[in-house]
Parts: sequence; C-alpha cells; structure tokens
Amino acid sequence: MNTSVNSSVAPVPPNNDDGLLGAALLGAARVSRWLARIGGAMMLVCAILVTLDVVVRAAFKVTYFESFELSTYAFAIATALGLSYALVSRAHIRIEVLYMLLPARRRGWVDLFAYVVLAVCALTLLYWSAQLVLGNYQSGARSNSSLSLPLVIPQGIWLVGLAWFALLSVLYALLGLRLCLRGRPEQAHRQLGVASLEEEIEANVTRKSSP
Amino acid sequence: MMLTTVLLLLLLAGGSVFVAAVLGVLGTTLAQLFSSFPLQRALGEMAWSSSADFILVAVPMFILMGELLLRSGVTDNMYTALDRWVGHIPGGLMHTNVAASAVFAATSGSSIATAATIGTISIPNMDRYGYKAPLFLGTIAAGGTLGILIPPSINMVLYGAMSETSVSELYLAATIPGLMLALIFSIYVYIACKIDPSLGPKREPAPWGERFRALVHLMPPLMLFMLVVGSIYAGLATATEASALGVVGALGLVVVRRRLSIDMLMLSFESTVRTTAMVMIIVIAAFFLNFVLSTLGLTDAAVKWVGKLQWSPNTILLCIVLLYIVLGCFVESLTLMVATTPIVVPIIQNLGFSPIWFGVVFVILIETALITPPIGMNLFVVQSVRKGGAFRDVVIGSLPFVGLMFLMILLLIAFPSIALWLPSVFSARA
Repeated sequence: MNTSVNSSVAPVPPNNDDGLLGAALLGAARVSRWLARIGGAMMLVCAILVTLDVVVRAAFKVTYFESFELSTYAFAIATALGLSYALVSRAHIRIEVLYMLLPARRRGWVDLFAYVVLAVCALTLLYWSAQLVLGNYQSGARSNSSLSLPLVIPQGIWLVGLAWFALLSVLYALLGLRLCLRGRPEQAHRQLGVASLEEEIEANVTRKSSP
Repeated sequence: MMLTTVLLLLLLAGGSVFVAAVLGVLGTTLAQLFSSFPLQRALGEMAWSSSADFILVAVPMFILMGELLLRSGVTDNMYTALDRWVGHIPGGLMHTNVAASAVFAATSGSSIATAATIGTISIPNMDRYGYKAPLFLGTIAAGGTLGILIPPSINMVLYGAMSETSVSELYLAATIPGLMLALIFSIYVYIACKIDPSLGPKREPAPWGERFRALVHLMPPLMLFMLVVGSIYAGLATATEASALGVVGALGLVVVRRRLSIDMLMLSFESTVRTTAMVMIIVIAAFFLNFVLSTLGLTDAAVKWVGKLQWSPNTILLCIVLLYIVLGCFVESLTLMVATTPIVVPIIQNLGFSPIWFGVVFVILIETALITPPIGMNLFVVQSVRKGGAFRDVVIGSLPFVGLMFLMILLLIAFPSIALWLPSVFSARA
C-alpha cells in the first residue's frame, strides 16, 4: 500500500536542512496518520455494534453489547487521536480574514504566532485533562453503568492522544520559530501555513479508492 | 469586561490564530479576570464530557457514512439519472444540479462535499451546452448548502448538542423545509429561464422508459435516507443510533458494489477522523467558553438585555436573522454556528420561539454564510472546481439564492408549522 500517494492532504515534507526537528516531524506525521486510522476503525466497529444493539433491542427489548457506552469512549479516543493528524494535514480552522491580505514573508511570522498560541492551549488542555484522569485513577472511578468500566482505561488512551497533539503542536511551533529566526519566514509559511483550497477540496472530495 | 473581550478577540483574529485556540484563550482570560473561582479547572472535565457525548457520536458516524458512500461509486450515476427526470424543464441541467444536491444532501452532512461533488460532475457541461455561467454556478453553490439542511446534517447534530434540543426532532423539522428550499431554488431557475431563455438551452424530455430505468441509480441514496430518517421517524432509533445504521448501510453498499478494500477503508478512516477532530476541537473550546460565559452571568445578561427591548418578538427575530446574514459574510460558518448557539438560543427561547423551529432557521442562516462573499466557503469550492473564469460569476450567480433563503426564513416565520408539523406528528404518536 502506497501511503504517500493516497494521503488525504500530504504533510509538507520538511527540507533536508530542517535536520533532526524535520525528521522528527516527518516521523510524527506518519504516526499521526496511523492513529487516525485506528480511531476511524474504532468508529466503524462501534457503528456495527450499535446497529446490532438497535436490531436486538427492536426484536427482544434487551441491550446486548453495551455499544452506546463503548461508542462514546471510542468517539472521545478517536477525536483525541485525530487531533494530531488534523494538525499535520492542516485541517484545523484558523481565522483567515486578515491573513489573506499579508505577503508570504509576513505570513510566516503570523503562522508562528498562531502555532505558539495553539501549543500553549494544547498544553493547558493536556494539563487539566491529566488532572482529571489522575483524580479518577486515584479515586478508582468507574463508569455509572452496567459495564462499570474503570474510567481510567478510556480516559488514559484519550489522554495519550491529547499528549501527542500537544507534543506535535510544540514541535511545529519550534520549527516555525527556527525558520523565522534564521530569516526564512517564507519557508515557515510553506510548512505551517493554511492549506490551500485545492488541498482542502482534494481532502474532502475527489479521492476515491483506486479501482 | 466587554472592552477586554473585544480587544482580545481582535488581537487573536489579527494573528490568524486557530479558532479553537481563540475560544479557549478568550474563555480562560475572562475566567481569570472576572471570576473568583478557578474556572479553568473545569477544562479537563468539559473536554472529556463533550468528547464522550453520545449525541455527538453522530458527528463521526455521519462523516464516515459520507466517506464510505463517496467511495462506493453510487453517486456517479445519480446525476445522469436525475437529469432524465428534470433535465427538460426550462433551465435544464440547473434543475438537475439542485435535485442532485438535494439527493446527495440526503446522504451527506457536509456542504463542501455536496458542492464539490455535484460541481465536478456538472461544470464541464456548462460551456458544452451553452449555459450562462453565473446562474449555473449559483445553482451548484447554493444547491450544495442543502447538505447541512436536509438530514442527515452534521450542523444539526452540533446545534442539538449545544442547545440541548433533540436531534431526532430537528431532523424531522428540517426535512420539509429542506425539500421546500430545493423546490424554491428550482422555481426560481424556471422563472428566470422563462423570462430570459438565453440562460440555458431547450432540451427534449427523456422517454419514459429511459426515466424508469434510471430510477435504479436513485435507489441507493434514497434507501439510505429512508434507513436513517425512517428509523428515527418510526421511533426505532435515536439520531445517533440512526447514524450508526447509516454507516452500516453505506458499508453494505460498498460491499455490494465490490469497492471494499483495505486502502479504501484506510482513506475513509483518515478523512473521517481528520474532519471529526477539526470539528470537535472547536466544539470542546466552545463548550468551555460557554461554561465560562454562563458562570460569569454574561449569557443571562444578554438574555435580559434583549428581553428589556420594547420590540415585538418578530422584530427582534428579524434583527437576529439580519445580523447573522451579515456576520455570515465574514465569519467561517462552523465557527459561527458553534460559538454563538449557546447565547442566541436562550434569547430566542425567552422570546417565546421553539428552539427546534429556530434550529431550522439557524441552519438556513448558516447556509447563507456559505455563499455570501467575501468569506463563503461554497463560492470558493465552486470556483476552484471550475478552474478558471471570473470569480465574480459565482458570487453574482449565488446572490439571488441568498434572497431565496431569506424568503424561506420569512415563510418559516409566517408558517412555523412548515418545520414543526412533522415533529408534532412524531411526538403525538410516540
């Protein structure tokens, strides 16, 4: 399977002179794609389980798979695992009103600012989420249902996704910082900038699986 | 407090910051400045509870359903099939554009996907058969917006989750207005072409045999629509459960049409999770901001302030509608919807309007945001699919449709039962 051809929006490959940071980001992009695939597969499995539950409930008035609770966990995990892939493939929405008016050189610095703010937010989210999960772990909180699942299991995986997202946003901010400081804000813009509309449409529509 | 908020917003907007980060920073700053409680401690809890919300599970499900369906190839013949039925009406392919958008919308929750898919199929025919560009492109851009009105709609799920209204009822409420709006688009095209026949060529109707043979291609999307909306209407499934049924139905179509492959699944998974994460990070941030705003009493203050105005509810409603049409020109549509729902819905309810009914009006307003310049996503999508020609054509062609959407809203205000009848039948039976 050729992943680079079938990519949604290909992560921008770092230049050779991006060194260790560039290589790390390229590797991280691959990992992020696999995390997204895992998240998607979980949703598909949940869809099948929920369907079975709906059919069984209509026929026998019982819920068999506890799919409703499981699907909420799968959803939270898929979202968290997907945050980094959305970042890598530049899907996250930014406010572009003024951005579009700037020349590429200026945009590089603006991109850097956006990623720094994002990194701070991602770290804040990670911190408070970690507090929540830690608290639930210490108190041994279980889900309020017949499954009575220890909450730390789904929340732990969820937290991993948030941590990975925070790490990636920090790495991207660092890459932007280095490029800008080295006097190459245009390149920072190429690597961090808002995806062009063509990329966006390609990601949304025109890809079909090769026959 | 207002000054701080506005200044902060301007700084972040000027810095082209991520939308979720803007909402998050705004929430945190307001909490730090104006609350004696450490509200940001709730961030973890809010993030988890909104990510693990069963109502919102419908979001990735419907996205996945659309992704699978797109790759099943069922939409390829849909356009031609519909053309056999409506292509001979004055306006020709433009009616096909609207009808195909409506049918495609019934299987997809996204307006970008709808506009781009229909545009890709139909735009090559525009010059070949001598249609005038503006109106033709307008039908695609505006038709595409039906994607978020005709169920299943991702925006409806978000509205339901943020306003605490039933998504099932919202879907039932949106069905008739969605079909009506498509009809209004078609009537407009018909009248325009009657007045000025040079807008599109005349064509002979397709023979009836050919028409009925074409129906086969319409079966898959219609069956899927019946599976999703029918199971809700029959009371067999909630909206989220129906979304899961839709995914399995779409998967079934993929299997039957022999398009199932690991590659294809992986692509669907990637796209689904990518879009889900993109939507959800904004939703999480908006839930947090909303929590801060309501704790600080800002939401209540806004409701009270509007309540004190000595205007009739309909006047205020009209002001809100016009405000959203203007805002929609400048604010990206998903952000506009998610960030403002928690504030505007209490105001609307306080005025005595049904939140289910307003959900339909609101989504139509979001539709106008998709085709109003300078920031109208569907305009860009259509222009980009078109590859060349003046952008002005798309903008001018879409403007009349903004007017038609406004007309639909006026109809909804005058006759709320257009939206509320179907849910009332449903709840009377349940």
